Amino acid sequence: MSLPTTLLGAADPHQPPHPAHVRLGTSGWRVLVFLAWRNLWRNRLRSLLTAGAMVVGLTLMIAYLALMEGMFRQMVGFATNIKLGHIQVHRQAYIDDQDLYALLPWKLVRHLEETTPYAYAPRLYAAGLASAGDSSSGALLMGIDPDAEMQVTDLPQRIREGRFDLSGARKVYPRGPSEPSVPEYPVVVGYNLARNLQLKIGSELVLITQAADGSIGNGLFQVRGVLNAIDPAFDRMGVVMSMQAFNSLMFIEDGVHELAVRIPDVGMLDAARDSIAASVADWPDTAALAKGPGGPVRVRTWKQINPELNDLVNSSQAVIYILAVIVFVIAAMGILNTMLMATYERRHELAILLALGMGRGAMMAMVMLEAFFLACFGAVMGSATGCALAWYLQAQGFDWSRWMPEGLDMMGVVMDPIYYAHLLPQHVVISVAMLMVTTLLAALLPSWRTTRLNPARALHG
Amino acid sequence: MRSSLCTWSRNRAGGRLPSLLLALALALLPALAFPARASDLPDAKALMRKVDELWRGQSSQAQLTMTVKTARYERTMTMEAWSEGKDKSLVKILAPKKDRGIATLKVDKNIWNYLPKINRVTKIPPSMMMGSWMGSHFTNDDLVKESSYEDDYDSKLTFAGMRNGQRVYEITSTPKPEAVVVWGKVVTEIAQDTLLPIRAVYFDEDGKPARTMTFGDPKTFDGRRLPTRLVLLPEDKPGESTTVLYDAIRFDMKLRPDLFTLRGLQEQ
Repeated sequence: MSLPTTLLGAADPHQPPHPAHVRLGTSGWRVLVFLAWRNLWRNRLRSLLTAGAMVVGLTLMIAYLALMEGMFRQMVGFATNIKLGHIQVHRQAYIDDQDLYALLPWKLVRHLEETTPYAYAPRLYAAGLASAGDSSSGALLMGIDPDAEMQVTDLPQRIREGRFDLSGARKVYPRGPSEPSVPEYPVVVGYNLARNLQLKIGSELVLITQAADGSIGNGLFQVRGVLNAIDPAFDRMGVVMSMQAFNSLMFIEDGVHELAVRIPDVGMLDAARDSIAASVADWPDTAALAKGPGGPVRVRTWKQINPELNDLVNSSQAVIYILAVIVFVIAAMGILNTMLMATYERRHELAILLALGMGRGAMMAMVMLEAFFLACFGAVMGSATGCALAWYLQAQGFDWSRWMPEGLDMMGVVMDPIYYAHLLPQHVVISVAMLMVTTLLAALLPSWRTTRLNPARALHG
Repeated sequence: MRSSLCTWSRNRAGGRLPSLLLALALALLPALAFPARASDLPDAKALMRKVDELWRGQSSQAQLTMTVKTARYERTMTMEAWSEGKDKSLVKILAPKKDRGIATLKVDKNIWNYLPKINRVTKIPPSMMMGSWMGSHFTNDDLVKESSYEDDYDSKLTFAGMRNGQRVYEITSTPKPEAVVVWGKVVTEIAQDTLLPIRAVYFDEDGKPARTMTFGDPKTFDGRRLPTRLVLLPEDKPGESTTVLYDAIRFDMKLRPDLFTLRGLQEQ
């Protein structure tokens, strides 16, 4: 193999003979690429091991990024789908201390439904006491409109036992058949409440609370269903019923405490909030409401309602990329080591190349090219296997129910015990870019060392 | 959630329920005579015991009117109350009609409510002890803790002299180290001439006043002179109050043995 003259610094009469000033022409690059490629195949095992390490690292990195993305989406989706909704509307006093009287008037609810394209679920809440047999417990009463709720959240689907049917009421005669009857409305309860009060489908539940007029609201209810995990407080105390049933206890006819909103495109979260807020502002009685004891109407996104969850997602993403850097730094150490060995072993032939007149810049470029080829191979293979693994985890999920059968409680959001990965193009791009950068950085030292080679001494040694 | 029988966050509660429930729930302490040391400063513990005994006999029966005033409504309930010993008491609502027959039974540390409309008895769980009692600013815990006041607090005389034109004793009660109570301290003012309570201020654990109880309108019932108008003012809800008026009270009568049972609770 003859070296083209462009590689030989001395052959260029216009340049001083220092190797750093050798210019590589197109044909010179071609030769360097050829040499680097050949060099890789001379010690296949070593090259394969190095590339293999890159493949494994990249595969795990891509799968990990996709898995974390899936987990965040699941967490956010879970939080918003289960009960939160994307946006919520309240009166200020309800946000501050769950003021029972801080209501959104029904007329405002209708106005929002008419003027904005979103789905609204009205809700009423009250604290109470739930009692069955000899056991009793604190209860969080929630009055909903099941049809509207279904348009906004998955709450009606999250049933563990029985069914989510809040319609109808049957007459019961607790004081005997000759005394007046009372209606027994159906309810659906949190699973921990069901466990603590030993409730079965069909069980009678006594609810006691203080009604809006100050009287002692009390009534009989029948358990129709038991919910899956929602959030720890709701699992322990939640009792869901129809608005009619709720008002048989509480007597709140003129409004609701909460409107949960579902928007079609979660990417337009802030825009949707602003349009709801604008619609609220357009409603004629809004100013009068703001002056009342319930305070102004507030429209908040899930990120504002549960900033911890949002912060968790953001900070975890930062941590993930820090972790990615660490992984690749470790990979870079391996590459550095292999390349140092490879150049040290070949110091004789490198010295010969130098003696033949190859420029030191070209020499360095050649070693860098070897690393680049390895990285390219690792990137292609690693992306392929990484995407394959991520897709598998996306389809099958990563089941950790063995370790956490009830799901993980994260910032008050109970996660299902199965992760599903969610692969985004950026996961591959970022991982490959990091692999390339770290590999080339790692190759800098060994390639620079080749330029320090003293041909005479290397050939003698 | 501003609900009452059931609130877990609304009331900072506990400690001694100074009055209504004194009458309702107090019982006869061993009749330790109040030491008659005219010139010496009186013993704080004995003074407090004297105050406690005001509404207490071996047994008692009282007619009460309770008015709960909140930012949203004002409600007046009339009730009948019985007590025996310091651990047993029973209260039944007579009016308004909507709540008529709703009753509370306290035996030792347990509280049950009876709801006539649905004909069910419910026991208040420990987690609901901080909830309001019958929609008032009193808590269930007030009923329960009252009888253990002397066990839970150390009382000291911290002032004796003129205050607001009246000669008073001021007694500061601080919880004993092992006591499970919610108050940081309770400061009670007692009139020197009548030895009747004037005011009790409940401080939270940060030393800030949480609620104030005032005692007024002393009248004589069944040979005892005692304040008949008790007003509880929560500091965190200005303008709200619970007022208890004693319309009548009798002492030391014979009560049916089954009155303080679940059966007595449900009887109309």
